[in-house]
Amino acid sequence: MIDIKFTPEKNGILVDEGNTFDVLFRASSTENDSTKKTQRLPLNLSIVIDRSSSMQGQPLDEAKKCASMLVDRMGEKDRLSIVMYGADAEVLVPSQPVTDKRKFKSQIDAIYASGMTALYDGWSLGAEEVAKNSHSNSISRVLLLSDGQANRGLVDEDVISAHCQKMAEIGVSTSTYGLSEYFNENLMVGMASAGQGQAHYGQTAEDLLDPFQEEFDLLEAILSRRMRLRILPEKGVSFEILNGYSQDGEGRFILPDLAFGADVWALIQIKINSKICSQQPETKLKILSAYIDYLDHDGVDQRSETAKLIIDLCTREQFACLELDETVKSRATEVRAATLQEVAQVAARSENWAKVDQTMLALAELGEENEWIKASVQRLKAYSTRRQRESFSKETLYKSRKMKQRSVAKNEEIFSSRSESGRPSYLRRKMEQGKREL
Amino acid sequence: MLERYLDWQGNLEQLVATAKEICVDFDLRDGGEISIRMVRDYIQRGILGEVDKAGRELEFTYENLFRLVLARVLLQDGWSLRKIAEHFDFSNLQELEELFPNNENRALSAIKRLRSSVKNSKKINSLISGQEISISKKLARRTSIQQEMKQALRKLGLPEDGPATEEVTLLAIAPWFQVLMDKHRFKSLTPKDAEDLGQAVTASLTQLIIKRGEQK
Repeated sequence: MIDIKFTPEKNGILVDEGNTFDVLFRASSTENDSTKKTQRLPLNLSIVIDRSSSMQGQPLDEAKKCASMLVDRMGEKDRLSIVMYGADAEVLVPSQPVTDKRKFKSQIDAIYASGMTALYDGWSLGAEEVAKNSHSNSISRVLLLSDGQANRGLVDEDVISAHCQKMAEIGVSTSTYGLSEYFNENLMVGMASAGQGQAHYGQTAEDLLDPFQEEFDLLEAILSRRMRLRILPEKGVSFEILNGYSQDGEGRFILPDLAFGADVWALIQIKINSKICSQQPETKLKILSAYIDYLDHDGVDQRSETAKLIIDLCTREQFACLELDETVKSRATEVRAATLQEVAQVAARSENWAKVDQTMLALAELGEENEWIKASVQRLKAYSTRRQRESFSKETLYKSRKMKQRSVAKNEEIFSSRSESGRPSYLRRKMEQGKREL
Repeated sequence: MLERYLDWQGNLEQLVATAKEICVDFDLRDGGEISIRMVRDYIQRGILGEVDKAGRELEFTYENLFRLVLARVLLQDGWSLRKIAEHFDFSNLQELEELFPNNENRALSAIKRLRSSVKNSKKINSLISGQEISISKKLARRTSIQQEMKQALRKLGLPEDGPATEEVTLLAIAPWFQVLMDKHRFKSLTPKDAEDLGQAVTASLTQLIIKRGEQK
């Protein structure tokens, strides 16, 4: 079962005025985490490995290590296929149960580097292998790894992402792994966002194993999938979801999967026109209601209870006495920081360093209110100061996505390196997305 | 594929009726209800393939029926009729059958359709002169415009399926070009206003095209 609730930034709005305010929406599991965690869902994965010439040497060796790690962590109930792509794509091991691990590993060891980057062909072959055994009672996902730019076959980023989206809608998600400096981060993040999977990158080949572990930890911990949030505002109320979640064909917002020990959330900016607020102070106003459709742990369609946001109208004096909710404030600060990083990424891509510097100042100000942002900005500053376009652009894009759409630990504490070390990897707030944290 | 219809034969009315039944079974709702007029249009576009005649009456077979239903599947995926016609031209029946949704495995038939759209785009583009935007790109653009529409509706305080009562009229000029206008203002709109608006839209779009650097 999923429990959903709203928390407004203040527990009231002003009478006789138009109001704009933030509300935190949270969905969490009511299941007993410890009993369920032992029964993870079967996995149906395809690992799609870039073997273009630029992967020669350590990058390909590390990619092979990651693939072998996946094989080690999978069991007989899971299915895996291995696809490699260079100038063309090829299914190295067709989708099959992971019974003979040695066979998978020997095929992985035999991959050698050569050719261009037919990224779409690789992804689509991987998706086809996964699709062959896609069922609602297993997790079907393509894990695509690349260190470059798609330069052969279909290369249009919008079209590739649209295809990832289409497959995600029918249960085959896509996660992407960018490696080193020169991969196309917009394509890789776009594919993962549209494909409803994870987006990771590693600055060096050694940094790649952590995100693979993180993805696997998350896959093992998933409780509810295909989470779709329906929001129904009252008349005179408009809203905007600030996390950048996309919508499905029915207008529902597509939320990340819900994992054990985590909350999935959305920050909603609500605007209410003054007419609605022209009532007696202390009147309770119904603002909106919401529910979530999802697939539960057993692959059965479920719908949560409907939650309502009801808020008191109050006078200026009463409003001034209301306290800001610290969690809503903190999440709103992270979302603002994420938006600023998106701006900085675009500026860095066009070598507009004056704008980057200006945005970094605004980010530093937000860092005064939030330790995680502060630590992240310090790392980013090293790249912006040295005008390292590729590193800066990648880190801002991945960090921005993380800040906007991360799963949050229940009862999360204020950020410190100590607070993060004891958490499951998929709930950690890293200071730098592309680096292994020791 | 539609195994139980392999021996199917019928006239125009029967084709429409049978295709409607199948579309209900497969939940194919996009592209409007199937009608005789629509089938005639599809025949003209070449979507249904060769059609036999018995006297003055058209006679349809399983292949015609299959092509009609598959066209509805592809429309639901976001393909245009023009692209469907081109794709059908370059594919045999067996290739087309692989694209049909398999109720036991929708994901597999979907990825086959996606791969096929890319493969055939290449093939067709090499055969047809002139530039064109791929189906999927049109789909991606259409999706993005639909999302923008939804966002615009929300920002106007108009929930997509909630208790919406704001008075706005939506003019769907094309699936990818839609206009919102104040319903009260619409009541007093004159033909001259309409002409002025048309000119303003033309000017704005032309300016955008020039900015995009694509004007010939």
